[in-house]
Amino acid sequence: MQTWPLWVQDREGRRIYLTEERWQHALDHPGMSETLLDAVLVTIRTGHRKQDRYELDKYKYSRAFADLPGGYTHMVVVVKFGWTRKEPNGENNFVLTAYLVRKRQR
Amino acid sequence: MRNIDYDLEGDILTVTFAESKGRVHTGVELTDNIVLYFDPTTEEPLQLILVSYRRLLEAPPIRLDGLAEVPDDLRAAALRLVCRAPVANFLRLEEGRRTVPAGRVTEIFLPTVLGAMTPAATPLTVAEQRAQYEVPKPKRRPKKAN
Repeated sequence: MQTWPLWVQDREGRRIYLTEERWQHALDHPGMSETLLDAVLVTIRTGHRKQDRYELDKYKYSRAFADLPGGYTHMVVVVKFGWTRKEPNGENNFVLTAYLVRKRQR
Repeated sequence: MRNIDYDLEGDILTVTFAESKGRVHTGVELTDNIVLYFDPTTEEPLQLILVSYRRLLEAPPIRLDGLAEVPDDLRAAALRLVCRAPVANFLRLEEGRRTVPAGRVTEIFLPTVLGAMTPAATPLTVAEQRAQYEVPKPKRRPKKAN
């Protein structure tokens, strides 16, 4: 049983949370299932981070996995960064969605 | 078409063309912001995800540079799908010879409709703002007649 929201830190120590609502949004994408929750969290913890070209407060974390279902090779997690007065450090960074993609194997 | 979902907070448009459960499917990034899922055996589109949709609408032709990362066998199928309906109704490829194909995202919602959904886009009048924070004054009871 998960206690929502789930908190995770990326490689540079940024704290990011995933709400149940946002997890449900991710589950609407093909190939996504409850069993991939760990892969989503690992992607944030250790994945490659890239800023969105059009909305600078959005970042995409992506990571290759060898054991994804259906021939998919990468997990992608979209995170929105922001600020709030509610949190002690003022950060409000949360997952917007996540999805699987297939890329060329290097 | 099965479903169109617009996520206001994330500005993510998800177009679901067909159910993916129980069938073979794959997904490729056409760009960092556009993902296409399809059945590789029938080449039927299943889902299109557009991240930062409103910004994509305003963007100059978007180079489908994600295709370079797509396995060869899927790249051609993805391009064929983009060239025809229903995917072409949402992402129109620019004509002309280019090294990397480019396209424009098609507007399926009027900006005014999206604007009305965004609180910041519909500023309240001063009177409306005051009304939100104003504590209603207690009604005066009529004085009793002696």
